[in-house]
Amino acid sequence: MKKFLSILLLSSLIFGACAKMPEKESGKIRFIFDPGDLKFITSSFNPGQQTISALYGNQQAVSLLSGYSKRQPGSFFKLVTYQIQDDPNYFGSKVNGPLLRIEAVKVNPEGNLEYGLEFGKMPSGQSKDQRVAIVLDQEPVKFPK
Amino acid sequence: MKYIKRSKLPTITLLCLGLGFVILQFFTQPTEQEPMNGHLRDVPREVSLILERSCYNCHSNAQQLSFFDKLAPISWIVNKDIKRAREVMNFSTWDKLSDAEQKGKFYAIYNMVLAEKMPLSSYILTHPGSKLSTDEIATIKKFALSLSKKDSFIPAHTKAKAVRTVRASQDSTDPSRTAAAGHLAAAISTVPVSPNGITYNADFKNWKVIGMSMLIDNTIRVIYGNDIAVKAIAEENFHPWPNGSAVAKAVFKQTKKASGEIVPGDFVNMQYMIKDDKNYSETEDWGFAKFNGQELKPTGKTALFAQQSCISCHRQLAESTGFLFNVPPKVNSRKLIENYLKTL
Repeated sequence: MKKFLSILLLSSLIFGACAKMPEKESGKIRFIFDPGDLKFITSSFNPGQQTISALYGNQQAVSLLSGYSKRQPGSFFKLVTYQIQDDPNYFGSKVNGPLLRIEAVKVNPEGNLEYGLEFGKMPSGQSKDQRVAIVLDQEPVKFPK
Repeated sequence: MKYIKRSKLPTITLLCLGLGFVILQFFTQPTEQEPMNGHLRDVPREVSLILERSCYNCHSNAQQLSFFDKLAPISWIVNKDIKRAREVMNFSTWDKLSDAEQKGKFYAIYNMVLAEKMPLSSYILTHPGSKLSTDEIATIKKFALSLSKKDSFIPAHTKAKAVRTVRASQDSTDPSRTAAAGHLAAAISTVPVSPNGITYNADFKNWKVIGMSMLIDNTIRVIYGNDIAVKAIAEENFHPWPNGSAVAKAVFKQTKKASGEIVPGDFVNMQYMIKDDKNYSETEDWGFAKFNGQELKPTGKTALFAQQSCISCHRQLAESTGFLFNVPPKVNSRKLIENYLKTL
């Protein structure tokens, strides 16, 4: 009887470990960033960090990056960064994976830049000024007119 | 029936079946033979041998069908499969494809064999010799990757502001440039229409971005979804997708900044899919369209273009996400995302 129970227990452990863990699986969800009133400006891929980002902004922000206007109070950006991963459906394609961080940059009424982190952590070894500079160095994607 | 002895019933049944089988043969048609105009070029012998053995019977005009492939009703299925296979990819007309198309097809071939979607399992069952070994799949992969080595160079990113200034000054002094700009504006002043009737929908730029991707062909892509598609993803309701779901993929060439960052350069095309189970039943209820270059020139000469190119990969490789690639993956911690949403 003892032997039988031992085998039963061992089998349960083995098969239990191999089976899918629904709790763990249900803990993972899809994520689509809701930009509210902000417009998508551009995307960028960082090969060193293996991240892909989407930059959003309001109309003043788009004008600023397009070079049509100078830094206006109220300009507002959000930089949404994901880890990049292989596309499970297609070899040769990489897609956005887990969300890493959401950063916000705005021009305050005094015309100064303010940086904020809404989700995740800043990349190690980078300062707020460097992150702001990265945002301001982007350009809007160009579609056919 | 009472006049027929029970012992004779099996014999009569067999005779009837046999007669039916013979009659069926009068209704079978030989596989439509087409000329072999083009062949694979610059493909290593070891690769072409694999393709000839496993793929050519359906994906070329050089069928070597076995006796039972020609017997009805099997021949009906075989002929239908060959017709569809030739539409998607025909090695006998390979030279009609551009270099870029050939490269894309080889990636599709590799993805199909890697996912064990090709050769079809039903085909392997009756043609066991067509099954590919792990080594043969690796040979195809090696060749597909070698095609991309030639264009591994990513050009430097140039600031649009500087370009715009130069163009503005040139355009104002050079009449030919002014005329060319006029022609381009005229070419896209009317809304481009795909051969299947789908019009270019510029409103996609106001939709939510549902994903981003990079392809080995040195493109960077942004995928937008309309409200119906975004709601379907949020509710995991895409088996099937609701009618009216639409996604647009904007494709750009990659350019490299001095910092090493890769960012979108020139616009390549906009790929569009709309769910409509009334009009696109031949392509899993999805209508496809592609608008290329600055003129947004529609892809395809006839309305059948999606059956001949797009749907093949979507059907075989993206079935788990309702035949749509680039659905955001389920990789985010529910707890972390929910905590973030509470802060808004």
